[in-house]
Amino acid sequence: MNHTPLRRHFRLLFAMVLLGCVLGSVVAWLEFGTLFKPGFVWWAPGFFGVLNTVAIWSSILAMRRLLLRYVPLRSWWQVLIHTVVLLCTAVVIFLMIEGIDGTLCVWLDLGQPDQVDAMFGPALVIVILATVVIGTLTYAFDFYRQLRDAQQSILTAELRALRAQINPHFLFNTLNSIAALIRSRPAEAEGVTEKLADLFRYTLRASDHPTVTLAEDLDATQLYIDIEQARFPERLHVSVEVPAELRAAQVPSLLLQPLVENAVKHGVAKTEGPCAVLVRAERTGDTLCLQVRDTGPGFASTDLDAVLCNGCGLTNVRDRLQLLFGKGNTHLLLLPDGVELHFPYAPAEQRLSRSASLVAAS
Amino acid sequence: MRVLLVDDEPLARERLRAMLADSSGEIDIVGEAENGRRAVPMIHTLKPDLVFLDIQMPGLNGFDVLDLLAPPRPHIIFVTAYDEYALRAFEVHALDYLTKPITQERLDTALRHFANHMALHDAGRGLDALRAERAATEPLKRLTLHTGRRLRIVDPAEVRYFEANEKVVFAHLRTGGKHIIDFTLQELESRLDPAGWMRIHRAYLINIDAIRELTPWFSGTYQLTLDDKTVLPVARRRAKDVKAMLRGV
Repeated sequence: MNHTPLRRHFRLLFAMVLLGCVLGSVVAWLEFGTLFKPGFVWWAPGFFGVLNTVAIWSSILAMRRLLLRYVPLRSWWQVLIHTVVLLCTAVVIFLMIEGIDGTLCVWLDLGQPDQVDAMFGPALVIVILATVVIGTLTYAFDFYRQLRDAQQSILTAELRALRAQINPHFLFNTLNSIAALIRSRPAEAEGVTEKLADLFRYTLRASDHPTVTLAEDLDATQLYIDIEQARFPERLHVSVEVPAELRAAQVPSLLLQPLVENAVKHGVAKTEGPCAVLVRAERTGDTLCLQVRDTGPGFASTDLDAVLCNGCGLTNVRDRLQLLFGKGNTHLLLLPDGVELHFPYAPAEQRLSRSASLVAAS
Repeated sequence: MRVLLVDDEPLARERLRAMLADSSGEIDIVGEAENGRRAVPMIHTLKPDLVFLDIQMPGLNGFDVLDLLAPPRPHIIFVTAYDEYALRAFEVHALDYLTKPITQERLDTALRHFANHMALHDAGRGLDALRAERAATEPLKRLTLHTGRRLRIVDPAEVRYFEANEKVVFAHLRTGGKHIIDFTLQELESRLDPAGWMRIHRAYLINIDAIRELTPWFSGTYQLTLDDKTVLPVARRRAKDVKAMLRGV
């Protein structure tokens, strides 16, 4: 997982060196173009190209690093400082290289320094252009990386918020139920306490294990169902219909529990009589279809945007599915009596051994 | 003291019952209700001194129950697990409340507080204020009808029209029958959905769904025929509004 950014860095470095060599060769060719007419020295453009490139490139990148440390890019005039300083660096280094190149030409007997001077103008233009190109590319890459990091941290923060989203109403009511059970049925009180602890631990670990198997997520959801059934023994009936062969499917962790909690909240909490919640999974081809339905009053609206809201369980579930499987592969449908999710079926057999005991062992 | 427990979770009622048994003072639990719809008639017939009323319940929640309790009212101690809106309302109106899990100490304090207030006869002031505030903002979900000595709870949609006669207000049901209710026509007009109800006369508030025909009567007045062939007069000054409304329908 950590190899990808490093490989990308190497690829970028390679591209930059290649681009530099081509540019450097052009500069060298312009400088010494006139020299090759009498007797072509085949290695001269390449030699001077690499020499010039390494010198200009490394000085620009070093100066850039220095600038980033002391002049943060927070306003337009700071961007201007970066631009001017980098261009000056490039010109100064070019002038120095110019001197070195001339001396080397004489030593290696490649031609006279005054002939080199004739191509000074075009070469300077190319160096300035190259600086602008390098500058733009590196700064743009920096901005892209910052943006990507920011997005990543937003998602992490969201997951953190989600795991803190243990509904206080649920927590306090469950504690009240446990307090009641301690008096009359201590063994049941123990059971509910253990389940609450396991559920809480699973929620806390969700950000460390962004994907789990459907079986693991179902186990955690069952903890939640058991606790709610202790609170509403007469009124809540839950049935889970998930074929055994689909339990290895890869899903984002904490996928089902928020959906079932929604169903209980909108079903049981709004129906005076008994309420049934149904969790179903089904596979058609490569697509896994998950349904969570309840016999409560249903959604007030069939408009998806009206039901989804910022920070809701349902919105969060959809976002995390999209993050895992891509936007085009994930569908969230509102049914008259619940929700339906479609996403690619991907069995996670290789991960099974590592995290199968996430719930059980915790 | 006579106490009624209202909570939709059996375990919560069980615990409160056990804790009340442990507290000092003579406490007689006269009944338990598992939702608001059961609670309202029980309060009416059992006339408890004190009600422990859970806020989060299906159908009618604790506040809805309060809406339907006409004075004289028992003292109410609200119970909630965690509900920011409710907690704010309790603080604003200085109401007695307990948070779950309830502790014995806080329960005893609330009971003592109740005993002191009973002596001062001012227990209902905060409840009146909360009711008045809700009357201004919250629509009425249900109505209470008096059928003989009992109370019945109905959806306002089941009512064809309300009629004020002297000081008494009657609800005429779609299923037939005419029952006394505890709300005034003003209260009903302000708290029922304005798109579903229309005041056609000083004495009548009509369910718009029940209207069949509007016919001119004399000197600017009209007559309204309902789906059960009841004919009611439309006041002259309200005729314009009634016609506009019917055109819009």
